[in-house]
Amino acid sequence: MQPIRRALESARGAGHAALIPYLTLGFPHLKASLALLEALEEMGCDVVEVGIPFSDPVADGPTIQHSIDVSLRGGVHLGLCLSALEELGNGGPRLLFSYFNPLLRFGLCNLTAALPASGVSGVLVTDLVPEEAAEWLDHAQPARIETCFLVTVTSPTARLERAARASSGFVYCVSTLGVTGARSKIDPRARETVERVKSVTDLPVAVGFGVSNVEDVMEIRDYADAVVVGSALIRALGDETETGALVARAQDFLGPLLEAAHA
Amino acid sequence: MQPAFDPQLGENGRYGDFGGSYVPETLMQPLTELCAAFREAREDPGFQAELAALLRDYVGRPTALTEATRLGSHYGTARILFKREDLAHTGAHKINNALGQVLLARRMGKTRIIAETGAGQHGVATATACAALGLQCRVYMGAVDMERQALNVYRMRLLGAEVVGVDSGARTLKDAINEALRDWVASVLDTHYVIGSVLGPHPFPWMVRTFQSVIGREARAQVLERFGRLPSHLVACVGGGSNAMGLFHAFLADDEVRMVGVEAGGRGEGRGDHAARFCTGEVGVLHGTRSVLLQDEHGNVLPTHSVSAGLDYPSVGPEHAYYESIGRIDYVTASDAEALAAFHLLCESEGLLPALESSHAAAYLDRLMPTLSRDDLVLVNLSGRGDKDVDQVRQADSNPR
Repeated sequence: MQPIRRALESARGAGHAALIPYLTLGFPHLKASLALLEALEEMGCDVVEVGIPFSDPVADGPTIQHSIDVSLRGGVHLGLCLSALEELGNGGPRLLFSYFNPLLRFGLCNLTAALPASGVSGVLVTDLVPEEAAEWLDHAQPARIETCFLVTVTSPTARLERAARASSGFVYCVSTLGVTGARSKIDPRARETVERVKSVTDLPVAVGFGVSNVEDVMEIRDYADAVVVGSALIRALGDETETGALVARAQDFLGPLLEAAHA
Repeated sequence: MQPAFDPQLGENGRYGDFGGSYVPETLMQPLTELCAAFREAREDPGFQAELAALLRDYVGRPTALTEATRLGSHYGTARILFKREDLAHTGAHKINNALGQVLLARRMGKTRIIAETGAGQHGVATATACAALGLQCRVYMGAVDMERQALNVYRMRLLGAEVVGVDSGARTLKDAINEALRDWVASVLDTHYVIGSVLGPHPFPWMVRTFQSVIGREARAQVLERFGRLPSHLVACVGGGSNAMGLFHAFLADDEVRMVGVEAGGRGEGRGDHAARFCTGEVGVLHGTRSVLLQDEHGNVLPTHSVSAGLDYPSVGPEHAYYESIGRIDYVTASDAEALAAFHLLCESEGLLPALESSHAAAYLDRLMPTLSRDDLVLVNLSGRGDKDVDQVRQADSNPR
């Protein structure tokens, strides 16, 4: 079993939900984001999503867009992220989160070759649907890179099946229609969607988009294997730039969520 | 609109290696539904008749084919014809697509329309179609474009549309599309996104070209009727490329017809100074489609520049990328200065006031005409009228570089 799936399965085995926080690498600067990554891994977050900046993030709401802008202005890009992760050493498992164009530009073959050394065992490409994924999977599968596809509350069963068949690691259920961003309430259709996914696959299922607090985590851990927290974490970092203070903010925010997930 | 076979269109909306659907999962189901609805509408005589009546009685089609005799004498070689899309209601070809899509959206039960706009012509066309057919309309427009096309912003508001300024990125067309896509991801159940060019995920490039191909079908019949032969050359400007694809499509099987797309050469060859995708662009994915893209070495999209807001876009329709790759259509550039000179030439020699976009197509005549003979027949798509650009041209004239 590959690392990301194993992490989610073992959380499930322990009666936990896995917690998967998201960080934009390069926000607020590369060094700080790497320190944040280490801190999240030390805290016991089961998997960390590492976001690679792209100039046109159409699936992201204002909070993550802003973090990506800051990262791009700092000159951060995929190649730089991979070498920085490699230098950081093997924590993980890490899930690379990006759009397709930076990956295509880097070269899919180069990418699958570079990922293992950077502690990245899986990839989630937000604008790559199973229909278009053959060229990526042709590289990823032989290299044993896990690929997570997304499903949404409006996906018909045929699409859920297709996403589940193409996925390894876990299936990512988008809890709501819309872009990334913290919301006041989790869409009740998320539960039903997770149940539909579970009826067609044995893979773990994660729920993300709109998760902002302990209550959300408590609700989701009831029916899903993992909870993804993105925008709410980025928002909690605020405009702080000092590494130590950033780490403290992340720990303060995620601590209770992690406790709720692992309770 | 003929339910014509599309030999170029492969699985998942592929044109060779280009096209496809690179979108967030949330959009896949709506795109599948849209594709099915469009296929049905295309074969439904009722839908076709309603659209044909609107194009005739509301848009004023067929648009005229005008011979530019004084301009022809100026060059002294081939005869020059203009397909007069500037005479279509709202002043550009954009209305052909906007009416088609809004009619389709209404048929699908959608109550709300969103659109992006660069120069404002597509926004005006969409706002007009929504007013005429009774749907709610919101148009996303880059803040920079709102400033340089202020007149069109007010026109859209007069037509009852809500115009939303976009302050992210370069604050032009590309960023307006990002914002429209973000809206659509959240609103797909009741909303249709009217993309204004042969761009975006499948089925948009195919659907927009189908609605625009009325230009070429009319032009082909008009030229054959008047001259008893086909044109030797077609020339059209290419931003996303809808007026060009709309003109070219009916002639693709006519091997003797040479086709030229004119991109924005802007103010030079440097990064960010132009929108000449086929000069320095490389294969990439933006806004749901795989095409030729101006990007940096890390896959980030580069800023672009053109005096014409409608050509100021870093990618190009995937069908254009395909025909460029097989050598069927040639692509050239015209600079800001050349386009402005052509704008003046058409005003003075023909009494035509072309949009700055269309002026790029006309500018290419300077290079093309000296290479032609008297037997040649050149057809240029005058895709829109230039009233919206008068203020900008006035400023350019008073500040010559």
